[in-house]
Amino acid sequence: MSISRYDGAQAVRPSNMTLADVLERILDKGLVIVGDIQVNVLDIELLTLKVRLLIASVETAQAIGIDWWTGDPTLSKSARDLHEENRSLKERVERLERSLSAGDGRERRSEEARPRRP
Amino acid sequence: MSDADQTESPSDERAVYLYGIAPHDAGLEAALASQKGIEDSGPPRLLGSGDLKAIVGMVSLDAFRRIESEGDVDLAWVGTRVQEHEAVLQAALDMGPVLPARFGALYRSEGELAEALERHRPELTVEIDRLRGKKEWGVQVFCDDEALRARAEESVADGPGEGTLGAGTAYLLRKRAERSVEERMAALQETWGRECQERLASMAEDSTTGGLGATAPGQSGRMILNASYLVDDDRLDGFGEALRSLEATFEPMGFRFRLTGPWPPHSFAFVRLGSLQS
Repeated sequence: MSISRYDGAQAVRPSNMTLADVLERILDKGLVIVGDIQVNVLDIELLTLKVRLLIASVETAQAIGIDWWTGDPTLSKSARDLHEENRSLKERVERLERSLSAGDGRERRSEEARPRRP
Repeated sequence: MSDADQTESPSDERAVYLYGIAPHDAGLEAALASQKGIEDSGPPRLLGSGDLKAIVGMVSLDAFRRIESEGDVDLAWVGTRVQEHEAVLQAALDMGPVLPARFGALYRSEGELAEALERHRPELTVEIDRLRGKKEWGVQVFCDDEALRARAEESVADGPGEGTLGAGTAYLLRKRAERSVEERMAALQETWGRECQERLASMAEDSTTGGLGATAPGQSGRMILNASYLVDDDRLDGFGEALRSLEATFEPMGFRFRLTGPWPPHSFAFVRLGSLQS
């Protein structure tokens, strides 16, 4: 059943999707399955945040044309707040872990800190 | 630094990368077979039982760990991976509905991901059904200030000729006129921008607006609208028609329209499943 790709293809003339378009869509959005203990190996929200901070902090962001979504002051501010909160949570967990006697039942690193969404 | 760094050797650790979730479809597997996958991990595979399939690949955790930790991150690496992620979803989208996962969803094992899928089957099924036959389209509108200014000036009443007035009065009048042109420009942009958004949204199942920036690659003018629309395939002609009609009306006013898509419904699949205590 090979339907023609878009029936309305004549009606719309999309531009090329740039990296900025893709980043804007797939970094902060989409399905997230987290928190089921033992399931995810990395903290996806932390990962998103790190990539976002990276892009916001790199001057090439402008060169590749992604300033229009990294430049949102509320987003970058909450990203920084979240970053700080996450860092302090991690430190706290590490202190707690050290204070517990070593060994059994140690949680995976990805379970240590769990940032809230902004 | 952290325990993980001391006890785990990251160099050959592998994990399951989740691209998205789609209903089982004979064409889907074939469509994915030609994809090279994220980080050249090979054609994505379908995981899970019954009608609900996770689109997955096996990747090395190394670079993802580097991003998550404080270390150096290579923007070029991230950019390429992001586009590979999207390429797989685009291939799946050609075959039917797909629930896109956020970039960087990594799971310890296929078995554990399959279990999570099973646990969340009801929510995932509802979500996929909601998105069936619909795709995301992006519309950005840019405004050329000079053209807009010309429109605003037309609509601001001309003051008395300066020759008949003292220099001070003429200056004040000119200032007031400038201010009212600025105000008028802001009002026009606001009104027309809202009209664009509302007319496009009326042809869509759902819509959302994103952050605005100075500009975008290859565009002149300020971005005044950055919206995403979830459009039913059956209404795409009408959506395209609305866009064309807006272009006809507003391009003379200094507006430029940029359409992207079709996208998997990234902006309309904001689902977060799971809790700390399972």
